[in-house]
Amino acid sequence: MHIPDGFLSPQTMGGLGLGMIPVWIASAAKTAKNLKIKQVPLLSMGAAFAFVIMMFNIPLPNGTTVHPAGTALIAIVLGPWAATIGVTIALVIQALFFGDGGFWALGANSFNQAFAMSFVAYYLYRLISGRSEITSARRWIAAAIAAFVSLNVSALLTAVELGIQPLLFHTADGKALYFPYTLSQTIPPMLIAHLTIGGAVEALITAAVVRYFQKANQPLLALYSSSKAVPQAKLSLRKVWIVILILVILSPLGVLATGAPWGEFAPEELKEIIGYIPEGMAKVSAPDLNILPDYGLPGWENTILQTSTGYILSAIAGLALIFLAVYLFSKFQSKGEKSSGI
Amino acid sequence: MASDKTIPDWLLEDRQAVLCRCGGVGIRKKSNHLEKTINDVATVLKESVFSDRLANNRGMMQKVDPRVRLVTVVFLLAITALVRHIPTLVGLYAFTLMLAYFSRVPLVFFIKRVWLFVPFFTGLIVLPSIFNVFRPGDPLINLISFGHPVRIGLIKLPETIAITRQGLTGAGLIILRVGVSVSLAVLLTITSRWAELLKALRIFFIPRIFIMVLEMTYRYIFLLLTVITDMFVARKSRSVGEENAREKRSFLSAGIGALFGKAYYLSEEIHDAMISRGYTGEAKTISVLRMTVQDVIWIILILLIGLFFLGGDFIFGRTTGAF
Repeated sequence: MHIPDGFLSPQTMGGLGLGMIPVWIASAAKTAKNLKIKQVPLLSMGAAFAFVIMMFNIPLPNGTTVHPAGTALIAIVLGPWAATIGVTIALVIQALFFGDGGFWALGANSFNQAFAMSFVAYYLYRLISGRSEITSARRWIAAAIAAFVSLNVSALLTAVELGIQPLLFHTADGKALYFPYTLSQTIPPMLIAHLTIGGAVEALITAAVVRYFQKANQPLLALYSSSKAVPQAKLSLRKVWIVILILVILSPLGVLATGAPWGEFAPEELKEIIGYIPEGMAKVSAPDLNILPDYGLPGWENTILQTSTGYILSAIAGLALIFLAVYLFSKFQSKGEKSSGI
Repeated sequence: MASDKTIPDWLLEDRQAVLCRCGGVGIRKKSNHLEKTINDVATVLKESVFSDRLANNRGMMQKVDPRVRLVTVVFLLAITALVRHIPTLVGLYAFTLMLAYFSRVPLVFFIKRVWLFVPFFTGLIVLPSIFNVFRPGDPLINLISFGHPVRIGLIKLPETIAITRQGLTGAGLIILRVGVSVSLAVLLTITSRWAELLKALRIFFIPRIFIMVLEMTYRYIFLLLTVITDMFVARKSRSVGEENAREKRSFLSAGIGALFGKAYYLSEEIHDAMISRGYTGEAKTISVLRMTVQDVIWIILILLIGLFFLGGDFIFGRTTGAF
């Protein structure tokens, strides 16, 4: 589920990244208020746990293994705000130190896996478990449902982000510039995988851990709800809506910035687009905002072979020049090091 | 075999001990989940130790100020995301290899690390898109011709199944782009010590509190990894025979639960330790990073090279559009 760099267009990644900024700020403020100076060690351990839980291999009946995401569990115990930060930090460490998930895709990945998943899981868990006893069966059933639904919401968001890429970004002749599949091709496989195996494993494991807590470590289950967060639930929900609104406002920016000509969709594609994009937005983006056109100049097609030779030659010359520059820099660097006596 | 009464029955049973899988029995069992987890943890530890060792090689990238290194790699990643033609990406990859070479990164390792897994994941995902079944386009190689559109249940197949030009170039584009992006990210990772990289993050206006949490997280990940290794080795060394699904499940969920409890308990301990050392909620950091003339030249160099690729890509798109 980690989207690597290169799948999404810069516009999508930028939009989601910008949308995540207020979420991160709000989460930091929220956890600072609830946890006071305890926040640094608690969030660190939450993040370390979020990273390490992915190391647990859960065996499947066919002999293969999958790993749990664990986000729902963290959200249930530490609350959605702390979970958002914890999982984001785990994602940053995976991207920076282990090359898992892209750097520019961090905004998108944290939106899907940290923010959306934590909030869906937490509020669903609260809604179903209600005011039930810590040891009640409603708690672990709620945990199972919360884990199942939140994982699927997260998968759906990922599928939608990937699926809008070919609609927004392709060349005039239909070549996909980023992820090649449309919504109707990304959503079913993603959801089938997560509605069945992924979701079932996540639900099973989350429920089993909550049951373990009920037996062995009850204070953990009362951790977040006792930090007087319940009356603030309404306020937090409003903030969520504000963030969603910001994202809604930001997403057309991605549409406007596309280089794909909007008049040239095949009829089926057009139908698909109108099915998903509000008419007003389609109108706004209708003017041809072709910044980087991929058309060939008329008359040049015949001489492509001739011109491409020229291109290859100049490209090789350019690369040689870069090589020279880098080489000179490394020489300069070692010279500077010698003279400064390090 | 059954008539051979010198061998007790229980030894001939299918439920064999899973202690050693080294024999040439012929049937290769899929690896046990305990073992897999232990191996996965070991891989993570090995990789981080290995990349820290490479980061201590005093190559070109390693000598650049970590902040500058981070920003320039992020800039190059953005260029990689923006370009739209295969030749430009090939050029960018050649440039990345150059950087790796001058940074004393073993090239074979560097290439293998990226290209052993990118084709498997990205390649497998984009493979269907080269056929006109999934994306319409100009046919390049016709595979099967039905003579008329075919319907199989919900799936509608076109008259001729073909590999399309658009599909092929689009797939090439995305595989290369992911490959170059991953290469750049790997290059940054293996030329930087994590402490440097964390310090470097500060220039992105990330609040100090986040950096502090990040530092502490990175430190404690290794502790927790050791904890689960101990947990799994202890379990494995006590188990004989195959566990059933229920046993596996209860061990894993109790393990996760215990790990959570331990992590929470640790956070309390760390908090107490911090308080007793005078922590008041205010994070102080000692910054020793200094920019040099070399770093400035490096920034200009990377900026020019980035613009060269972007400009080249633009001109390429203007004039040909063939790829």
